[in-house]
Amino acid sequence: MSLQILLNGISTGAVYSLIAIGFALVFNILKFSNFSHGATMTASAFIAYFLVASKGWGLAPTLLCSALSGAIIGLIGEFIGFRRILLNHSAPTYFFVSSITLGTLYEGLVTLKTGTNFYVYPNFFDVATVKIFDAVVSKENIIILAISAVALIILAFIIQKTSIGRQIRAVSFDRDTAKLMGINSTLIIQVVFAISGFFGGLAGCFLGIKFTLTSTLGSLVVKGFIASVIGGLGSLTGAVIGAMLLGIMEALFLSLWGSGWATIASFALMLVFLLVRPQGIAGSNVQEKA
Amino acid sequence: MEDKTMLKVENLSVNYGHIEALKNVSVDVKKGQICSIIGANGAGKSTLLKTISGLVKPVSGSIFFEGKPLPKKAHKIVAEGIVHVPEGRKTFSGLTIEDNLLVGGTLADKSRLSANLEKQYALFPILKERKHQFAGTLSGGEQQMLAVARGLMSEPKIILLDEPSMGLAPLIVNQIYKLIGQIRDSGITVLLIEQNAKKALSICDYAYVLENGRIKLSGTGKELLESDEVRKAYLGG
Ligand SMILES: Nc1ncnc2c1ncn2[C@@H]1O[C@H](COP(=O)(O)OP(=O)(O)OP(=O)(O)O)[C@@H](O)[C@H]1O
Ligand SMILES: [Mg+2]
Repeated sequence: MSLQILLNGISTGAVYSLIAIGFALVFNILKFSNFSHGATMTASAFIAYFLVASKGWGLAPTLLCSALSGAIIGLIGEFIGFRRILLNHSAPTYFFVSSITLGTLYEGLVTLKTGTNFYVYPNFFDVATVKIFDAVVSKENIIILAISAVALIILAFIIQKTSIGRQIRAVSFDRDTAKLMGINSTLIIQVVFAISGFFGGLAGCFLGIKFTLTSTLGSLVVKGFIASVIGGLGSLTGAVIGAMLLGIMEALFLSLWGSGWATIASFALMLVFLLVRPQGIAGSNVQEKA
Repeated sequence: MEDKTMLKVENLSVNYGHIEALKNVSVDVKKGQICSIIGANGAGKSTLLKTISGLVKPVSGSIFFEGKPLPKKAHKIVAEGIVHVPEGRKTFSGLTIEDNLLVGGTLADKSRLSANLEKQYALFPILKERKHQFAGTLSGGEQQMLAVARGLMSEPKIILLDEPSMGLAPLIVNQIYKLIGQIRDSGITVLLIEQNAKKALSICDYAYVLENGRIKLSGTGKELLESDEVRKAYLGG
């Protein structure tokens, strides 16, 4: 495998990691798969496109706008989609249904504005490629990789070393007992939705840069979902490892067989993997509710 | 002597759907004392503690702490100085021992966090040795110690203990009870829930007997230990 393919794969894997992490954070705390995450990514990427990128403001402001939009959408989603269900101790299926409904709503709103048109972020880089040793790699991939890595490292630090991170872990383990420790669980759940949305926004923007912006961009959320399942649902480290594997595998298959077969092959491999090791790489003990 | 009631539960009733778990329960906990509530399985003991700590909402009745009505939200109740160590320890098994303790200190003054940590480690040396291990690797007795230490990290005025001796060997139970005495001596009021009536009644200043959701009897620990009713029902004759 050439360095170029590997770097491509790692950079795609990094974007999948961002998606998988956003997914896993919410899964951990509420024990359900948030299917509105994909549409959150799409909406954030488009908001950043219309408010910032189309005005010629460059990568950093666009990325920031997309991430912040994601955080805000996450907060709104928590409030309108999940808060009442949570307070009523309703059955887990309601979370699932609510998240699908929210996702459809977001996607509908985006389609209202964009139709089925394609949009392209302006070219953020004046030089498209850089040379590392003998390999020519796209600058875009390097930047995406670097920013994703920094974001993931900061998140790891917050989760492991700060009071907020400990509170997130405590609420994820046992919400009632966390409350008995003086933790405002509603606030912590909001924080988690904001972080999840922030990562979704970053991922959405990167996907828009790598591919094109369409109202169905968010369907790539399945990649993040698969990655977090391979990694072991509930494990953040597992999610990143799973995402990297998926990204590298796709890049490899792509270089071997072209895009159609690459997707099929990577999905097939995932299925085989799950047959062999259904609990995922990190083998979490969390059972999914819905 | 002036009234030094710290926690006052008045005519409290709690339902779970159609089940009436508590019926008109009134309890007074005096400052600086150990107050104990004993009762059989399903009597409503845990429900009483959960209602005080805000996890369960009552249908009627009121709870006053230091003369004021309690806030509604659980985390605000902790901020008032009430901490509840739940039945079955409920340590965060996937967090390290130190992280468990730090989570317990979420609301405490940040500047005293490390001093409080050292205080718990002095009280429970076993926790210090293992501070970087996951709480799930501790034995039952050690987890109970951790649960109590974690509760103390919030610098409570009153600590609510739900069956701290459950499932523990007699030697460990004695250790836990010695500890409960130390907690009281350090100025923290204790509300102790137990099925182990003998142990609880010998350590407490005042006690209530809860039966099918109602307070059946109350008195000093000594009075109840000597009462025929308690003897028959809870001390095995
Ligand atoms: N979440 C719940 N939903 C429905 N009923 C409940 C719930 N929790 C407790 N109950 C019922 O309320 C009654 C009192 O339960 P509680 O847990 O307070 O008893 P307890 O005295 O703590 O018992 P134990 O000594 O076994 O812990 C029981 O009949 C129990 O079945
Ligand atoms: Mg109980």
